[in-house]
Amino acid sequence: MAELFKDSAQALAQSFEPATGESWLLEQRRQGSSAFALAAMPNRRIEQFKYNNFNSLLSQPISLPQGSDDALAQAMGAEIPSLDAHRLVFVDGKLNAEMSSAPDPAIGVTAFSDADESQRDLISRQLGKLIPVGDRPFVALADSLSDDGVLLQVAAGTDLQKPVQLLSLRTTSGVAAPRLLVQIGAGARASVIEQYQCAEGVQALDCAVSEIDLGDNAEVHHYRIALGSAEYTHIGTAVARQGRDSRYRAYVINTGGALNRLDHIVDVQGSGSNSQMFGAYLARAKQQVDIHLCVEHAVPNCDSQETYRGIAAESGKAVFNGRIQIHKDAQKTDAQLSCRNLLLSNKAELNAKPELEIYADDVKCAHGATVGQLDEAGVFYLRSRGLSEDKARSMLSYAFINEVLLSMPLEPLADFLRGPLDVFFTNQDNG
Amino acid sequence: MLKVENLCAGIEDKSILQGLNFTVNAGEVHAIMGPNGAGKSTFSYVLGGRPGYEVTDGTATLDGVDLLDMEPEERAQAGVFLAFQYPVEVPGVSNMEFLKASVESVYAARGWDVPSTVAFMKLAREACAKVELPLEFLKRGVNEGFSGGERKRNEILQMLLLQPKLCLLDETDSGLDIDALQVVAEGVNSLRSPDRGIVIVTHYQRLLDYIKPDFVHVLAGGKIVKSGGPELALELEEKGYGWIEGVA
Repeated sequence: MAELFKDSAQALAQSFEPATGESWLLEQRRQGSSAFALAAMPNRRIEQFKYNNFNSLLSQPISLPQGSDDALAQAMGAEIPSLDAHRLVFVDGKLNAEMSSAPDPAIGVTAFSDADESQRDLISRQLGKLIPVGDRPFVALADSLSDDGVLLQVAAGTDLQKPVQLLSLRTTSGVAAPRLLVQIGAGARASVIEQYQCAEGVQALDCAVSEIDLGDNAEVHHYRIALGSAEYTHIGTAVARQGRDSRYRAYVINTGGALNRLDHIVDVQGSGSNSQMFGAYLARAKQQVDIHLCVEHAVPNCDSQETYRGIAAESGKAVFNGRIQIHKDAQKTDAQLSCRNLLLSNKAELNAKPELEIYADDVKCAHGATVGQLDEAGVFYLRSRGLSEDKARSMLSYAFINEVLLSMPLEPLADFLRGPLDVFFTNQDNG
Repeated sequence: MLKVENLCAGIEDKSILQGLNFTVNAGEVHAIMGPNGAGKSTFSYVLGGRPGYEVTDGTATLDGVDLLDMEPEERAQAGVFLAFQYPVEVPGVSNMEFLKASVESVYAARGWDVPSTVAFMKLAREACAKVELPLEFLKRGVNEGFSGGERKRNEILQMLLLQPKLCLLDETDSGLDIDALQVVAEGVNSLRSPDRGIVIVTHYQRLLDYIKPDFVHVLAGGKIVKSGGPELALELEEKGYGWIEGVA
């Protein structure tokens, strides 16, 4: 069955290869295409896809988006009020200059399609460098369709005050593969926002790949928001590689979508580093929402904290797979993974799986994963103060993930997220 | 105002209230006392509408309207306020957000003007001052990390904001030191009014030194077995419950 998808994707990649988009990415596409040809398609026998249902995605051929609907893109409510960010907007994979911020030479950011010679050279050398494609068919697919994306370079020692935002909007069906390539120089600081949304009723597939390279003593706040509509499929891969004494903060919100999956890899390659991850994943109706986290501690004296909250309501399905690997040289690692989940309906499904693999002998490591239900005493307490049962339950569910929102230093972004989350929590049928 | 007749209720298969009769007229303050296991908390929960309690017989009406058929939120909107013995901690919901949602819902249901955010903030600050809770408690999670006394003061704060017809205080004095007890009592006393009924359910006479009841009742074996004036509370304090007929 997956053959149809695979054949069409390969045919697509071949037709795409020389003809469209940025031809200087040709080599990238070729390599992606060959890797994709060799890759096994997802199925439940493969551990990393065990809890996913790719059937509906793989049962149909894929194609490129045919044009785009800019008016619809404008009307999607994706704009974050009072957020002062440098924004690059992609509609169905193509840069939309009108919706994007005017170029600012003070910020080392460009769309691939606007890159100059030296930037192109850097992109073609660096793209995909941080990601082992190996068993990741959707990264290979994204590579084979490499076209446009965002390059952000922050020079050593620079404190980039203004966040840089990649906003990807989908208004037509088909597959897009937006890329984010971030290079943070030694001692530099930056905030990066990725935001993916799809209009209602549009059957779109995004294979989004982002790579963030943190130099020594660099700091990055990485926000990654994927808000799906019912027929949207989002398969994202994000990798951060950390240099010595660097600080990586990630804030991840995945909600909605027929399938909304993020593979998040943190590759701790420099000692003295700290990684802090906060994430929430929420599924209701027929949604399927996943986070697959993999933190690789390769060097000594690093610490990481991972705080994740998941909610499955109605017939939603949520998966959290949190793998922390402590390699044998990574002595004195301190890793703390907390994953709490709320199961709101008998028809919902939650799979929470922390995995610790420890090969060093002098480490501190803790993990906790819980799956529970709303506290009925709390529900009665709120109702006894006049709140409807629906309101009481939504308030308590909200409270469950509020920690993740409150952790975000960018308040306008947290405020913006309350809108879609309110919609998520309201009028659920968990009976 | 509140009229309870032959109320029989229990939890699961256990029958706890066994034909309770009780009436509160507007303007009155009643104390319900009784030994452990008498059914005091069950009575409060049944009037508040806590799920899990089953009413097998009898009626309870507020101004002639059947309470027992209503959802808990409808009872609150109709004017019942149950101050909890153990107020629940709701981490992640700020006290302010909770109070505002509660006031909005209750006021709207009663056809009162829903205060603007600014007006609400003013009300909330005034209520905070009245129960001597620092303003920062409005920003904290509901009862999150509050001491026993702070939780009870937070209950009275909610009561002040919601302006109920019937205040039902379930063991509000438990876990309170004298200072907190006085603050709580002052809050309750400030709500005494000719059009409001107050019911204090308590194990000890202590709270009644500060909130003077008009009537005192003894609840035992799921029924009111004795009623009297404030002097009854003193007598109970002195002699215990053993001497009253109907107390096992």
